[in-house]
Amino acid sequence: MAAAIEAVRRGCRVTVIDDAQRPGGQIYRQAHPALEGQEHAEPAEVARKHALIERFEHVVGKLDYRAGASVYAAFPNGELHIAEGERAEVLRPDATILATGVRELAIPFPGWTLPGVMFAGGAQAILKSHRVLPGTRAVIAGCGPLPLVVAAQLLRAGGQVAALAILRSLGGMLAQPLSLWRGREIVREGFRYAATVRRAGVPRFTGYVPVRARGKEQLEAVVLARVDAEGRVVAGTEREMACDLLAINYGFVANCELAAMAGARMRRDPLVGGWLPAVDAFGRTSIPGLFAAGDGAELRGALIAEADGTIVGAAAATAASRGDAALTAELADAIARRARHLEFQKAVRMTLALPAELWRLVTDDTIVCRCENVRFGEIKSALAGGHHSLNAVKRNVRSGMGWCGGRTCLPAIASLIELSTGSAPTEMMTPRPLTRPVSFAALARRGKVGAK
Amino acid sequence: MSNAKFDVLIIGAGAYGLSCAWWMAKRRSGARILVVDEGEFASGASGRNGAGFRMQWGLDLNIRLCQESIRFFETAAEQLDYPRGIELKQDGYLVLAHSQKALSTLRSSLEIQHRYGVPSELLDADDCIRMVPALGRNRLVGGTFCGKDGTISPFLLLDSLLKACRRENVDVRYGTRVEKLARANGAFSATTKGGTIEADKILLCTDWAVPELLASVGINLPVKSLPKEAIVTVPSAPKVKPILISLEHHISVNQVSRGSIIFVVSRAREGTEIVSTPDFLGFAAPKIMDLLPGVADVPVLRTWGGVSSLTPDMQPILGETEVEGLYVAVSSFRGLMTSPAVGRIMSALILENDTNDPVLTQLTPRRFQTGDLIVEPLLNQE
Amino acid sequence: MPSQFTFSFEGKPVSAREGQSVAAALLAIGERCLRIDEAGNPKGAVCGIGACWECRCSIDGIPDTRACMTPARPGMIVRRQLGLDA
Repeated sequence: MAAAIEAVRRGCRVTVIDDAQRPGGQIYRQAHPALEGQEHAEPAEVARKHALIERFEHVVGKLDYRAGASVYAAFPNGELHIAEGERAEVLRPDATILATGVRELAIPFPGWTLPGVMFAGGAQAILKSHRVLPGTRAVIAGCGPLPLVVAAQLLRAGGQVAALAILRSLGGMLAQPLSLWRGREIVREGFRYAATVRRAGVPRFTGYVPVRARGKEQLEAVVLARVDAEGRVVAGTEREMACDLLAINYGFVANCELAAMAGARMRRDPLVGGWLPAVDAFGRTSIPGLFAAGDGAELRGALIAEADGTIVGAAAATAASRGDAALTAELADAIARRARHLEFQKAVRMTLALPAELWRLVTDDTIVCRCENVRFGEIKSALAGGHHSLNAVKRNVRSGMGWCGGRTCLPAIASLIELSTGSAPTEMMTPRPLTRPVSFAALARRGKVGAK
Repeated sequence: MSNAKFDVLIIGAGAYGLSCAWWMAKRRSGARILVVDEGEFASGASGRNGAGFRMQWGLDLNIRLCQESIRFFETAAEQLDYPRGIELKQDGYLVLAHSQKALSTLRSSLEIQHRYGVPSELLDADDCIRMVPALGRNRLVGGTFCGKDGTISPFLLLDSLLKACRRENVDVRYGTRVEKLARANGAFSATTKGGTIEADKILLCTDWAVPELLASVGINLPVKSLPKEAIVTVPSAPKVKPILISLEHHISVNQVSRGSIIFVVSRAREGTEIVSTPDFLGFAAPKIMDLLPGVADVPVLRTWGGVSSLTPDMQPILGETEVEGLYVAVSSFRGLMTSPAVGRIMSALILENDTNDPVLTQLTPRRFQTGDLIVEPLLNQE
Repeated sequence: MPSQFTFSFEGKPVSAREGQSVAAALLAIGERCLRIDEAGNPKGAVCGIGACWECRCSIDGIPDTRACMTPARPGMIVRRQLGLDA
């Protein structure tokens, strides 16, 4: 949103491709106007959300906002191929900003495919956008701030939380007082979420992770166990909790497939999103005219994403119109905000560091690639056969060839490769069109339009 | 790297390379055979293709190569001692004509096929549509069908060959790229990063990349690369039982057992990289809709591709080059389906200097100098 | 569109409000299993944002439609998918 606002401000014709029904992305999800309901997020966050959305709505009449549309292919020649329902189209913009954000990181473990096991952000989305409690009795687990936030929001909505299992206490952040001071608004919100959870008397398990999900047709119980500093399960610490929702978050993975498909140079940093397009301070990728902004360029949270959007919007507008980049007050402010919040984000980042042995929660029988039903045992055999790249593993066991295109399993397989061989794969699985299925009829009817 | 000299060095571990190696090992036990490949198992063209085989050709040599190969596929599990089999499916190929000219080509090819006992038959447009209701009637005039044509799993064929080769003590090394060749004292040396390999004879099975190594010993062969792109759909209800080939659309269609439909669309292009081109879907989708309107609502899941080889007359090249002891086997986009026969023929040629098979006369590398090019009428290429 | 309405899931009426996704409305009544995959595994919504495609089911006769991305509508006919049959 911030990038679009800035690009419009600088006189560009802007098209926004959004696969949701209304603006907001994931963090600032909006419910349908007909769904009246209380916001369970902290008032300050809600205020930030409404302020940004209002600014976007203010310019939405000046741009081409396509809801329910997605880019199914991007090419080095700058073309964007989009699908909107049963319509397909080719855009040839002068500049493209990929603000595709992140999805949640999956760590496979026995039983994780049972209905009822969800990503914490996904459970939160059901609550935020759809005003529905995704479960009657939840166990929330993972690392970083999100599990705490989701637990609190579920409780505020009247849900039951049977346990909150966090890998590492967030109190570790107190060791970096300067960072905390920089992000004091967020920290205050964090304390209030923690208070909600405490008041509800939710049992807290620090250092525990889900090691098994049990149930016949859907989730009925979760087994938590303590892990040591390396992530190894400590025998004898297993605790079983009855639940119908297990909401997990172990961090985030950037939605970088389009950047890679378009030929941008990529880099890998698992702490801030895994594979990312390499960008400079203005969001420029190695492909002229292709930019990346927000969490999709590097995981830094909503406040930085907003500032980053303004900065990259300005840079992209300059590239598109080939004019001078005027250093406006807004741009200067965005640059300052981004720098200020980065300090805090560095402290948050450390809470997302995953001990390597967590990837050994899998057994040979555990499904790793959910779309193609590829079990860990098969991947292990492929690795033992010397196939150490994601492409080679895919070729041998079909992982990544299904509906989700590897979104769920590839980060896990990359970590399993690193754990088994000692070195992380250097290349992504080659991203190929399409990022989502499109029918022949839509493809055959495709028109060609240019957009700026 | 071993310092021993090999009897035969085979460069390229695809279907041709492994098949030739296995046949050689069987022909002469104790032969020292080394197969090297710059990539990983199944990372080349043999791992990226439509997986089909057909006897429906218009040229006797193609018919015979494929007939013999299909007989091998039918007994591959026993011959290669591979109990799980290579997923052989013989639901037939339906070759379609969308013009009277194409239909008459099919008719004359049918005559030649029948001379060799190929169980193929002529169908009119109604027969074709009855067989595959998803077909479009637009311009369709008829086709030919052979129930013994079908598909295998390329992956399992390569796996069975690799295991069989290793059982026969053939050395197969992946991740080994030959940079150049040289002649020395009536033998050859192949330079790799890890050292030099010495061999009495060399067989190049690197398909479109053959010219590169030939250049290092001063030979020119007119082999080019032919990049191809393909579409795979999401798993769908059964719609296409036989493999379809449309001569007009240059498309082949294969619905695999999991339900995904694979469309290989040929068009004249250059390059050696497997690249998804921006105009491919826009090019292919209308053709597919015209050929097979019954798939209009089936979602396309992914595009992929591969690189095949192209020769001036679009026929394989099999035989000895003008450098004695240096052999080539170039598939010209029908490697998988001819690999068993090619393996046998090349093993006889290389180990016993057996030049009797007429195929060797027709497909010799020398034909480009003499101009004896051949024409295969049932090509599905642009 | 009425603010509250019903659609059908496996022949049973399900209550929903305008703006809710099919997945959310089903979760509200404890229906978590949206399909059975080719290997017989029951599957339901996981990511909630349309990325994982696990929540796909037959919606108004169209197979493989993501329940988490599809707004519920009055009279919609939603069925589980069994294996590859839509």
